Amino acid sequence: MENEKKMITLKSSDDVTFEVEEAVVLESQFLSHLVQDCPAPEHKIKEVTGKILSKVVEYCEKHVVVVVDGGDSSSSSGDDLKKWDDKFIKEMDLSTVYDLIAAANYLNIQALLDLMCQRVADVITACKDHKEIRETLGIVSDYTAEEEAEVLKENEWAFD
Amino acid sequence: MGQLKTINQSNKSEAKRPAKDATESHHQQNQRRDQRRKFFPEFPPEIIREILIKLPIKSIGRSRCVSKLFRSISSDPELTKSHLHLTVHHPKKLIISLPNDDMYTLDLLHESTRDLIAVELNYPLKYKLSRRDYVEIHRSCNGLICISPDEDIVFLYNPTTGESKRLPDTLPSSFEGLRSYGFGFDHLTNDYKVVRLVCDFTHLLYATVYSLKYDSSWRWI
Repeated sequence: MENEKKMITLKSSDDVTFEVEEAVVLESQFLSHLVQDCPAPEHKIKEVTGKILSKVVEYCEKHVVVVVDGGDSSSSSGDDLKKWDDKFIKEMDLSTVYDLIAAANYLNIQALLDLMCQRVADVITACKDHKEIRETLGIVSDYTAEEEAEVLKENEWAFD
Repeated sequence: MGQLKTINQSNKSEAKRPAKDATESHHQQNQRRDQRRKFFPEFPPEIIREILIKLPIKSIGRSRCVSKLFRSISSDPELTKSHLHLTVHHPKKLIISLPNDDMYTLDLLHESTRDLIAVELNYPLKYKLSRRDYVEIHRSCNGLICISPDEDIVFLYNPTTGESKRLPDTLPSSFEGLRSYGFGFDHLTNDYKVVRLVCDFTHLLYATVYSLKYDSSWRWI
């Protein structure tokens, strides 16, 4: 039996195109439905830029479960994938992480969303106090001085 | 799609912000753009929840002080429950009661036992004069401990947050008999319960149960 892979083209908001195997697209629940409901060869994803879509495609290509002849499924082993994930997020700046969280949420790719949220969680864990968390993540406090004093008192136990 | 829209909107409002100084240098512009890009997007609450649930408990406490949104999401009892579920199967704390009225907690996070640091606990009634010189630890459950800092005085105590709850007294302090306590979580009623048995040397005299949910007096069983 001829084993020809079906290819699908994804186009980002800024018109960067990516040609990927259908199996890669199926990592995203959103795209799976899109491909099923609308069998066009090319799909425009207006909400994701080329820079971010390239990362999404890179992630999904690595994580896709490849079905080989004979029905066996093979994918990279758990340890290898973990190492790959670590390297994938290691050099990534936070703004890219934020964009990937939004993209993974929109495209419904749970494992990628988890990985990115874990990255933000690791950043928060490394912060010694609330001010450092704000500064690192880019959050502006909406507490008044009195409210902040109160919430700090309530959570005194959380500070060394 | 709505989720992404909110992010776009926030970017738009950023972009509308007028430049403070039209003559600012290219370098300043770049710097400003970098800072702007670092703003935490208006993620839907589910995303923030996904992040917060992955934090160790102290970082959750610190996050509550970051903003009102972080506080409200991290204070949701459902989040606490899921977080507990993730962490409770890996006990990380050892509580030690010494015969000089001191209690210590040891964090067992590190695999090496050489760097363990015992932190003194400021448990309830620590500085009150008591009729004995040690704290009795009855049981622990989900990171809470049931202790008696003094005869017939029972507290539920959270050694991480320092929160405590004194259980109502039922027995006159002169009451003779051996006391024995059990403490656990009742999954059927979603409630913490303490059971107190009072015996003399041969018989069980009284059995009572306290429920944290109803927080009334002890019920006889």
